[in-house]
Amino acid sequence: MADALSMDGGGADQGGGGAAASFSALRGLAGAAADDVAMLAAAVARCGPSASCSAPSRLTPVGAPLEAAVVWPAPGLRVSLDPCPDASPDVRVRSCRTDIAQPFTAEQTDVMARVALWRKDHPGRYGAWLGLRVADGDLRKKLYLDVPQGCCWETFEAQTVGAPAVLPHRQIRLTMIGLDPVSGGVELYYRCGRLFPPEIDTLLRRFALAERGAEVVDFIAALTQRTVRFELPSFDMGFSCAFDAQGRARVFTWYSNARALLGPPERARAALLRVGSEAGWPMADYEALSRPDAQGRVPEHGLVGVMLADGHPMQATATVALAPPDAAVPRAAIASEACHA
Amino acid sequence: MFDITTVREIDYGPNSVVYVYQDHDNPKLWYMVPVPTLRTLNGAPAFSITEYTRNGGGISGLCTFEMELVQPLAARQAAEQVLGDDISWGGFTWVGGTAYFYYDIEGETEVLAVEPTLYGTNVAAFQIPLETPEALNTFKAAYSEGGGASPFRIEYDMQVLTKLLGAKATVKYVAEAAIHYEKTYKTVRDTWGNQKQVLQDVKQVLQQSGAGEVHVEIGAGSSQELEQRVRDWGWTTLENQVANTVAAAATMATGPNPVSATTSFEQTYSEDTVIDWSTPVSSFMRKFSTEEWNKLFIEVDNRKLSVVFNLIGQLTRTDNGDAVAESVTVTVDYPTRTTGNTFVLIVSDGAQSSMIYEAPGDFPGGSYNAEFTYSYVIQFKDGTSFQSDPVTTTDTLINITPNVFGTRQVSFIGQSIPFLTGSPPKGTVKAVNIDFFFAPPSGSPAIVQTKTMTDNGENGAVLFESFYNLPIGQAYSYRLRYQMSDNSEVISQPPGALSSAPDNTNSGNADIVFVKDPKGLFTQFTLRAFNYTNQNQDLLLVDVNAQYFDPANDPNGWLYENTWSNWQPTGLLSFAEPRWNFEAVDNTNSAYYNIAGTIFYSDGSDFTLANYKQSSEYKTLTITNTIENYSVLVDTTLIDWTKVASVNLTMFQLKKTAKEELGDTLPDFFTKPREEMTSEERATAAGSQDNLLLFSILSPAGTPQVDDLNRYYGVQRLRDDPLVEFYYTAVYVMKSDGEQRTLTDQKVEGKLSVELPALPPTTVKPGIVRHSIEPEALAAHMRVAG
Repeated sequence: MADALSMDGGGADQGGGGAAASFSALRGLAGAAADDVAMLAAAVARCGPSASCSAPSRLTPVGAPLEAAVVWPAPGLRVSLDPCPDASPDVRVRSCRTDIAQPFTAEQTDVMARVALWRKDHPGRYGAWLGLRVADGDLRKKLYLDVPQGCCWETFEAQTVGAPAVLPHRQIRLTMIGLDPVSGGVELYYRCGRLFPPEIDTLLRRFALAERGAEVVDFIAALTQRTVRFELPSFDMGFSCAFDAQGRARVFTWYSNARALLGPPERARAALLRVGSEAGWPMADYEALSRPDAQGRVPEHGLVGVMLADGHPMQATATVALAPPDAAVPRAAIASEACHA
Repeated sequence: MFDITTVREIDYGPNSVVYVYQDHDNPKLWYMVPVPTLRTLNGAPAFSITEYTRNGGGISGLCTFEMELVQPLAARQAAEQVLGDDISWGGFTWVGGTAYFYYDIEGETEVLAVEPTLYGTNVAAFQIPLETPEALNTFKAAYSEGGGASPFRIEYDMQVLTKLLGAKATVKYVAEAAIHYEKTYKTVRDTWGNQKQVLQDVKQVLQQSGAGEVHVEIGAGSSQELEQRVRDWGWTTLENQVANTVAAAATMATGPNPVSATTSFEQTYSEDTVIDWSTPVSSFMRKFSTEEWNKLFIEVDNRKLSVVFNLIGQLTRTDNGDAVAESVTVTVDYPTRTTGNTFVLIVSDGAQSSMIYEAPGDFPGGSYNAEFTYSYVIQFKDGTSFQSDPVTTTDTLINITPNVFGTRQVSFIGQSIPFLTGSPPKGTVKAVNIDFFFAPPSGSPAIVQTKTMTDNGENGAVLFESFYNLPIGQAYSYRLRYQMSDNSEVISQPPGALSSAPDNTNSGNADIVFVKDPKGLFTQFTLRAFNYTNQNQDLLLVDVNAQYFDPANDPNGWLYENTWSNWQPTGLLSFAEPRWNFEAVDNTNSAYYNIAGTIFYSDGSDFTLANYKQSSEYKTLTITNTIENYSVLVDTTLIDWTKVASVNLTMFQLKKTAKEELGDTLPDFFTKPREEMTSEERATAAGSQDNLLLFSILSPAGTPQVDDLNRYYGVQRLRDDPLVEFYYTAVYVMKSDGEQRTLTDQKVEGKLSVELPALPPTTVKPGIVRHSIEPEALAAHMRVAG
């Protein structure tokens, strides 16, 4: 199963604005297993930045350095985080790698080396994020590596996928690579221009996955309550494909910037709650996480996605910006050369 | 009439879907929404790409093609398998539409919009100059790789009249959200301003900002699917309305951001309302086989002249369906083709209503000559003909519209007017008198026609139609006079045609006017401020009181009032809060705002808004640290309405750069209405005119005598420019013979008012009146006004 989606939310560019859910909302969730939530919250407190970080993070549109992801109908929660919003991309990469104690596979190490080479010529935007989730009572960590804009990723990408590129007119660009040391898997994340419904199947065929684009389209139509006749109705979309350790494609995810698909966060929240409750999904955690603050502001949403795992029913996902914990483990010299020295 | 609640989706092949609707009364009659298809002419695709190998005259190549809407045989067969083979097929009567070509060059999506013919197969001819080698190669790659779909697609957004059944819909635009979004995410925009080009941006802003709202309430027994279809229609309707609003703001607004000059609106469509249902259809164009490609791709040394000639609009009579003329014979004069330069277009025959005319390029002195001259002869059914004057232009798309045939057909359809009798909703309107006017050909009497509407929908529709065998102008104007049960009268008159159709794409389609409930129009007025950087002073404090007057409906004084006290503008762009909202009669032609107050600047100076008056068509007052606002009284009381049927007054200012470029001599074409300008002239006018406003003044009718009302025009003076200058043109149409008289070139000094004369002199060269007011005269005026 794919981890929480994470991408360049551009928060730093947009100078923040909007609201993030409070970290205590994460601790107070009732739907997920209490132990799991406690373990996740503790890990976030340990690895994440403290509220004292001054710079807005690029992780989320609102500038928050944390992002919680909910997946339906499966229970559970994932968090992506920017360990040091004040630091440079290189520092952030080192920080994230240090936080992941487990060794990476040889293939994954090659990928990291390749990305490091790309970063030499092209500085990139953020460098890396860290992903956290609890599975079977264990804390799992995932490294998300920024693919710098302008680097030559095409050959590597075609080798990883094992099939030539498709849809040359849809501005498809590799933007991020996810590495899970426990599974040994690699996940490729792409941004693209506006896609048409049949083109999701074109992408799925390239990854040798079943043609299930109609499920994505139906979900989008349900969320937007509009008929999808032509382009998918998002102005900022992308997709990812997760490969297992043997290099087989296992999970395809279509995602959209939540605002670009559903508008402001209150509308995104209303749409997700409506569709979720119609589908009978457990919405309590998300409802609690995205609850408006005292000023009536719904936390900014990052992404909305549809996950198609090989041999499994469709799942949906959404991410919500999360404020850093007020009293995190003190960390030294966030902006200096090493977050986790 | 088809029933929107019966829509069915029919699959007829891989990724091929059509929509069908059942007739409201005849269950065996169905309508199919047709599919865009590349035309075939003489057995070959109507498509070509030309590469200029040596001398492209500034471009690398050209792509031309023609599309049409057809009902694929396979789709019919698939539908009949589902619906039964004993059904028959009806045809939609299109009332408007636009065809769009979406293509990408170097990752950038481009859109080209054209108007299809509204009869036959709705042919739309496209011509795309391929400016660079990259563009040419992109097009070659898109169409030449053999089989399958190209990456480029065609969309037709067609409208057809029907009833909103089983649901009620409200569309709402929240300007504040759009403005906030624009400020937050996109501070620079340059694509607003043309209605059709802005539509994509409008869709994005409405969706992402939350500025668009569509609420649908379905009736008992209606399906979720209907709810979604109505919501789809509501969004399309809202997007078009917002696009119009933004385009109008761009035409009139001062300041760099037209979106910030838009104001909120809301419109509710109740069940049974007659609406223009939109049926967008789209398909990818196909790639060509090698054999086809070898015929369709041409390499030539030099650029050629290529011009699309189109007959568009409603060219059949609404009463009997006959074509309004037989044919149009077009002659093109261009140096390289002096024989065989005449061709015939057949009126209302979709297969012969357009022509892509080509000639070898002319290169005098080595440069490409884009200029050609065309004229045409219309052959009417009664044996008469009309020979046009020659027109010299570089336009590559020539639309021949119904008005050149002397045809005017405009339907007024009531939408939920609360009539005393007739169909619901029931209410207090006895009848609506519609005063309708357009300038006839010279020699024909010009009268304001009046007809009465007593019911909503198509049964109560009121049609104004005239058929002259001589050209008439594009514009028409009208005034609605609602007769209320208490014997009072409510007047509703829109602004001139220029403002309501600011893109002026020579539309032949704007032939349906929806008439609504006269009262309760949600009106929002916005006070905004720009504080430009690097100026000698900033705006510090604004104290303003605004009053809304509508003397046509209530001559006794102001109707609504609002005050903004001690407002301190901040940043580059800010708004005085809260916005001023009220409900009024939709009467933008003569209602106005009276604004009084003081603006204080950081250098200690101040400026008094001394009973500044602004047309209610313009619902935003812009205050900046670089301009001062003054109003101009337009006195209409001298007009001799015993001889004059209508006056069209166009007022404008010049941009600073245009003043420097043009000096005292403005181009002659500034005296023409925008819709009669060539596209080059329109571009020049749009690039040099500012603060454009058109008043359409009809001779008085009914009681009270409403159209001797004064109008007001707000002008801006640059603070570092001592002079206030503005310009106007006026066209009088005489009752007796339709003669159009104009004012001649004049300079008026020291007057911040316009007195329209009783009658313009006969036979003068159309001209422009220029007003300039020196600072002393302005100060004197301010003393009196204040």
